[in-house]
Amino acid sequence: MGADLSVFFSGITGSNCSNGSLSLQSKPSLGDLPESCVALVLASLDPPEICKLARLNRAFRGASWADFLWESKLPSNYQVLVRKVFGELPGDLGKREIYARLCQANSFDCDTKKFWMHKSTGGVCLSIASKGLSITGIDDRRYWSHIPTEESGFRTVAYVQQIWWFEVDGEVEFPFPTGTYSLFFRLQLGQTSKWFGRQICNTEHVHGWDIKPVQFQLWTSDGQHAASKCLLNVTKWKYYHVGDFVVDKSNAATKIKFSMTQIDCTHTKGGLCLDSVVIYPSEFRERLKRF
Amino acid sequence: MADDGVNTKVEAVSKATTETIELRTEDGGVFDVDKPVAMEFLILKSFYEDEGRVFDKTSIRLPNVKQLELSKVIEYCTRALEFGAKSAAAAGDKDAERMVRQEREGFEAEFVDELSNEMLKELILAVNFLDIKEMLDFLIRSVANRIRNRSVAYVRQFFDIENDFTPQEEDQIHQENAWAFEGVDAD
Repeated sequence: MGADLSVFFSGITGSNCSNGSLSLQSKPSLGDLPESCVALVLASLDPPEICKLARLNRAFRGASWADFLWESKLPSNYQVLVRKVFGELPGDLGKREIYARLCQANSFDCDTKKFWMHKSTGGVCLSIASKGLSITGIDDRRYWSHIPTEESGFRTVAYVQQIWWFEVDGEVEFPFPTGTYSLFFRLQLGQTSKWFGRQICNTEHVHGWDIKPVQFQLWTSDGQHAASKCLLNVTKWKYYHVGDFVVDKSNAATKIKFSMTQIDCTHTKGGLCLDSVVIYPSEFRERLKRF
Repeated sequence: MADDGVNTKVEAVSKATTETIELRTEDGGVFDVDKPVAMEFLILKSFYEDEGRVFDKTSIRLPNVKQLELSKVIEYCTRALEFGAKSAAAAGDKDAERMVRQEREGFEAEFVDELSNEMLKELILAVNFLDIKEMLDFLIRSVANRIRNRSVAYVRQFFDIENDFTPQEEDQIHQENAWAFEGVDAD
């Protein structure tokens, strides 16, 4: 005599017989997987993959909209981020829509800054325009000018022709989700322009960057500090890594200050384009350094 | 002879519990399963613990589970328990921990490589029924690995499902999904 576990089984998968035991479909296929298992498969994939699988059939499309699925992909403080975008939390927005919305470039602070979520990882990225930075001497046309260009996400860069005291400061306060982040200045020596349809880099004003290094620094309001320095000599757009900082409490917003200086007044420097300061989750650091 | 701490502990586990349960599959298979392995099947665990049954050597019939699947499940769960014990024994020793992890990854890769898509599905159904969380997670991840970065057509064939959308629905989905596939700034 033995025990029969069929009593434990009431209506999970396949066809149900009223006497409580189940019969297997004769043709096995993964399409017969229970919904719970399909949901688990989707949960193991990243958002672009989930959206791709929404095209399989109606059942998958439905499963791809499940709130619990997207809740697990959103950063833990997503409600704070949503408020930053919408001003207040809209009541009827599903989690998938919220995710999609946060992945768009969202401007704030009078369009001098924008943030977005990285589609695959949900990591928060932030970019600060040159117009959102404090540049010493920016109003003096002998030194600095703003140049419209398609090469910047903000459509404009700051260009210094020649200056003794080079200093760029900035700060941002933002509710970063917990994690480690890397901060970069995006710079180019020389000025790109189109000449008969071809892109050329005009380096006639480039000077003074190979004598003494440029100093980069960042500080956080909770006492973190990072610094780096280097000589500049690359005549194409490059991300210069300043350092990393850690966010371990995402309830309050993190305040970060950063600066780039070359204030050795024994020589002038110039011919530099400043696009922006960007902050990315550190997992992208090496990729950006090679950019 | 130097004490091989890891192996001694693993042996101790299996020696101390020579109790077995007899499981019968729906296609006539009979398996004597070590109690620790059988208790990984939550459906069995609750059968004994929640129902307050005394553990005696009784024979249990598993509807909906076939021989081939059960033997694979037993194989995986037995090895999983071994790895668990080895991992615990290696705790604190980074090199030993890494070795156990690599050994486990090697075993899991080989285990899943041998499974056809059909077998993978049969196992998921069986493991879902038997309620073995760790193995279910492993099988689900294996399915995800097999379909990741594949075309929609491939995945449809993999799951053996039909496209039941109207052209209008397909357009709608295309729009719904556009955000996931367009580029955003410097990435």
